[in-house]
Amino acid sequence: MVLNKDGQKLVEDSFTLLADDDALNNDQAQILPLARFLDAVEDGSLNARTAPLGVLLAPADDTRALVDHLGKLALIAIDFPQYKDGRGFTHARLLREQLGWTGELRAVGDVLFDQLNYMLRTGFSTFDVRKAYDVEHFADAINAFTEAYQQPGDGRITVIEKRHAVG
Amino acid sequence: MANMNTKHAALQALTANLLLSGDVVYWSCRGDWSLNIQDALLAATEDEVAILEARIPVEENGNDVVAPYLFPVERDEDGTIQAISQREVIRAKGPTIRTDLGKQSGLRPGPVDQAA
Amino acid sequence: MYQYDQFDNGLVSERVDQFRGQVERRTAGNVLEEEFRPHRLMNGLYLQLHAYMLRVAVPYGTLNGGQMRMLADCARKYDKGYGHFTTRQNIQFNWPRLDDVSELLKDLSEVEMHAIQTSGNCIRNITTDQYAGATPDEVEDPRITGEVLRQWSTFHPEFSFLPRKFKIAITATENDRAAMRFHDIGIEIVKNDAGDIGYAVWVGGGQGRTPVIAKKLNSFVPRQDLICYLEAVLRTYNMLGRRDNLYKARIKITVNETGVEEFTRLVDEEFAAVKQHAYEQFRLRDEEFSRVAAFFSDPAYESLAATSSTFEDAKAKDTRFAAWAATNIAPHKVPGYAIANISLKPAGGIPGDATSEQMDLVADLADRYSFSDIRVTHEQNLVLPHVKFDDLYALWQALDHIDLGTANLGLVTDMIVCPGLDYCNLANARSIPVGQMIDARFADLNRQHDIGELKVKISGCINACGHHHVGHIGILGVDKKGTEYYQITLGGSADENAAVGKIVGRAFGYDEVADAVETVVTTYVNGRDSKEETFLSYVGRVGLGPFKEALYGSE
Ligand code: SF4
Repeated sequence: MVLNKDGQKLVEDSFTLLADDDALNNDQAQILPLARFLDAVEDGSLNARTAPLGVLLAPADDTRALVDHLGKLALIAIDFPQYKDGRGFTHARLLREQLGWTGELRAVGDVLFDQLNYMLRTGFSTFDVRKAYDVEHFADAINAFTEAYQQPGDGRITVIEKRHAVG
Repeated sequence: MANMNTKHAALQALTANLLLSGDVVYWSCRGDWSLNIQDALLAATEDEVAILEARIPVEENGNDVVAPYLFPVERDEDGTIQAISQREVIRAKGPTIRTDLGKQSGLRPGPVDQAA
Repeated sequence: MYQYDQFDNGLVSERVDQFRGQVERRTAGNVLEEEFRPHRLMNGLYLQLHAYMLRVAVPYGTLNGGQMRMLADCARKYDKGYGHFTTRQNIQFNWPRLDDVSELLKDLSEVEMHAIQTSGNCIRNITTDQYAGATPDEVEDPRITGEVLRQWSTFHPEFSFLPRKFKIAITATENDRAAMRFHDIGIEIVKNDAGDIGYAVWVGGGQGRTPVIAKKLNSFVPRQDLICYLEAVLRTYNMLGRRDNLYKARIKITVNETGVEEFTRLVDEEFAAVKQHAYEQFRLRDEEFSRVAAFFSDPAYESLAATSSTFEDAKAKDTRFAAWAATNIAPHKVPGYAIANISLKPAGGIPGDATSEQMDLVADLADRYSFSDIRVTHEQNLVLPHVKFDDLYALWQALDHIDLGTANLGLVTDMIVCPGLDYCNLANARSIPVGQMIDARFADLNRQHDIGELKVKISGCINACGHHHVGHIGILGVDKKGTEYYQITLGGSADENAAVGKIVGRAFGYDEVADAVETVVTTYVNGRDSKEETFLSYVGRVGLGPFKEALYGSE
């Protein structure tokens, strides 16, 4: 179930993740793995697109490959195939901080309950949460920490800034 | 060269640590966890080992113990169960440099009371 | 020392609540061990052989009296009356119950302590020079940078699931007491020609299976850029580090496989990008640095004469004290003061262990004699950094009373010894009793003083928590078909002359190790030019030959 930061279910979410042998359909909201997306850009098969398009970044993908294509996208999903693999957090920060992506950034895969707060802080805006318990207690996890020492991409005011705020 | 492990692998016991206290426990003949290695259910045949092994996923999906695994033991002439590796000997007794600590300091026999 | 403000306190207590929730979910059966494990590890809670073990962080190795007393209390209340100080300048409790740990952490949080990031693939507790703030030769107090980086690395959302654990050490002197070159990142505080203070950054050092001496990646990062630079190093590592093989996942392997030049280029590129896009967020602000620095300003030293007749008289009349003064005190930057080292290696003891009573007494002595300042060293000892020469004798007498006055700092019995197979789940062999056998062999303190500086370091497996690679004499426990054996290396060094020890020959059995060490030491004592030639310089001069000959003969 895809939730936003406030724990609300995305009602209008109609995206499907394109598996390797699924056909591209320009009239359906689809999420393409990065390589497939780049190929499709290359060969023009997205030219007639009417439906929203998303792209999926795997841990080993090069985030900066998206730099010239952000305008084509409605959604960027970042895959956490294993909770241990923290490369998705770097993808998120690079997208927010350096590439200037302001659209939906979705965490998918092995989205671990106690990583939700870190995902929020690195700039994720939606979260594909699977377990009933996690959905029910989403707010506890996402707000586990009120303050943050670092400013990694969610725009919050850090502890350091609060300490030295004028006035 | 004779392989020492073949002889040792003859008997297997199942061990784990209790979830709450961390204490070392052994799967017993009674079909529960015991703090005392002397209560351990020993598997000798392939079938017996398979039955003991089948316990592992059950325990991994429960919340009584942590990290269950099989290990080789042997029986003395008087029937005492002995762990073979130094590691399991130490787990069964306690730190060798603090004999006042661990099981060696006073073994509570019998089944486990999780709340103890 | 640093004092938490409401923000620091808030984060730590939210962490305690979070952990309490995690434990409750686990014990109620809402999550299985597989999912719980990373959480308990992130909170420094391991499962060892006999029980759980909780590792509590001692940031940059600094404690005050109240904190030490709380550790003593926790050991009494939740453990078996003792704790173990480690080579990470942390303390470990060996017997806590899972359902007590949340309370233990809550008690610790009352004295601004925690177990955050003492395990897991994140940035671990940052270590530094145990003489920080007291030693005459430092550029500035490295704990200021240590605290700034503690905050930066705490719950860092991008770098909490790295390929592998990540250790940072900071020094501010040329004498490296923090083994800085054996860390994932070593930070050396330096002054450039213009008189500005900045940081030389070393990357890719480490011990374990593949010991590597760190390489200098940047010889001067300006202060305000430090965090940006570290972000760039960590990010490069996070994306490039291997996740397919546990033993190749540390940054030392990444640097080796990528090549230092290429790795440096990638870091520089990322550094430029971070500065371009996020400089404001990550610039180390002067006002924050100064805020933190104020907590580390000098205590109210008295102005004293450089010499003390009380001290000299005591040395003259008490030879045991004189022996202690010869090894266990170091020069202080302020006249009339000394740095006092408390050895946690009493004869027959367990290296690094301290009982609650000992911790309480050290806390009282710190309050009375050292401005309530205590340090934990990576060599598993304690330090009272600011003691008046006039007070040293009284201090030593009080220490001696509870077995903390051993005059062996830097000598053969001042060993680093990891917990080994007596406690550790990963161990191949026991470490502590091997240390004790060596200790008994060299029990004669006069002989130890005659041998001179000699660092013996023992690990119970290749993870090298006992720093055996950098021991002048290193001992590594290995397992041969369930039996303990020990490999000996010679000539390692953790300081500014960093070196990895070389294996001298075939491994020794459990009962043979003390003999072998004795043979090594005798070879040195008989072969040295004079007492001025240390063990390490002797090994440097003659190589392994004479040792091999003495140990194995014509074998
Ligand atoms: S070196 Fe090995 S045996 Fe020793 S504490 Fe580390 S992991 Fe355990």
